Amino acid sequence: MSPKNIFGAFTLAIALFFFWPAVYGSWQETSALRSALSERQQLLDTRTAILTGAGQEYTKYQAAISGDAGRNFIQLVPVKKNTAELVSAVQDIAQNSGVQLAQVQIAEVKGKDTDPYKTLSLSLEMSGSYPSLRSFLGSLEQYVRILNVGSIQVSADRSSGQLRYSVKADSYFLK
Amino acid sequence: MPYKGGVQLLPETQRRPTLASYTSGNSYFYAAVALGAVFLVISATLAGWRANIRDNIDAIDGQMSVSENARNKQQEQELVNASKQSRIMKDLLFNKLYWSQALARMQQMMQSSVTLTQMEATATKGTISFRATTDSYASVARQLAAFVAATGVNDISIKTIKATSQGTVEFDGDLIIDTKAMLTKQQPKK
Repeated sequence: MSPKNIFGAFTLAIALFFFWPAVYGSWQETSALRSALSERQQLLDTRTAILTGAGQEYTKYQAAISGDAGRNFIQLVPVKKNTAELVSAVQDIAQNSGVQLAQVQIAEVKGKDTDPYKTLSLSLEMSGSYPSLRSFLGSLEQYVRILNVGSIQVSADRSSGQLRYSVKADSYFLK
Repeated sequence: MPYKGGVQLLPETQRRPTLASYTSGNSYFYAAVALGAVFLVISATLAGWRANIRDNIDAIDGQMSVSENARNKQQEQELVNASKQSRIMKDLLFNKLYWSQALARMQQMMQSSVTLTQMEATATKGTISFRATTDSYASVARQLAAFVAATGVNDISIKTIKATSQGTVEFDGDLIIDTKAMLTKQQPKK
């Protein structure tokens, strides 16, 4: 092989050796950018669809909760504890039922981690007549916020001729 | 070497080969140059394409940033809360306890001659412990029979029955109740 051919072959080899990786690397970078662009476009489309859907759902939700039933729905299991509101409601119910409220204790109970709600435990000490107890329990059950009475203790107070009640109930709020 | 006439086959001076002597008419060299040119064109085209893609990516990032800023997180939180509420509400309402219903049933079971003096009802245990007084053992028997016959009472355990110095009979025991029948609202059958 003549030196001329050796030179030509060497030049060709050099061209292949340097340019091919450069072009191949450049193509790989371009492909990666195209994938990134496609992913971002999909993300943007999904995001836009979700946000549009959320906006529409919120409008529907607002319309649904604007009525009495809707307002009650929110209060069944409120987002916050609303302890003051709960105490006030119990006081009102007791007063309307003719029950004398002697003591109210409220404590947050540590429930299961899997529960999607937290529990407020109410312990009520009261006195009154049997019909007033039934009226009180009936009103408590009808209260807009879910109140589950777990136990009732009733004993006769011979000195006053009235009944003493101890009622334990659970109420709930969102985690 | 001085010229002596005739044909001279060897040059007088030594000539070094130039680059042109290697490249001219060298097909390998031309192929290398052509290949280089093609690669350069391809590289330049790809670079332009990449710049265009980067511009598009930047534009999308800008739109994402705009949509992120336009989010109303309070509204979203309200929707999340509503979703949680509706999920747990069914379960809580289904298991809601109505003690007024249980007391009404218990009232129906009670004999007129029997007076409850103490009662402790617990939903988790499913028991109603009671203490009562009546006028005779026969009334106690009638009361126990009424408990047994009542709907929602699974079992009854009597602890003590004793006559008092006042001439009454005092008795106490536990009613084992069917919490579903006694404490929950019966769903109407469809």
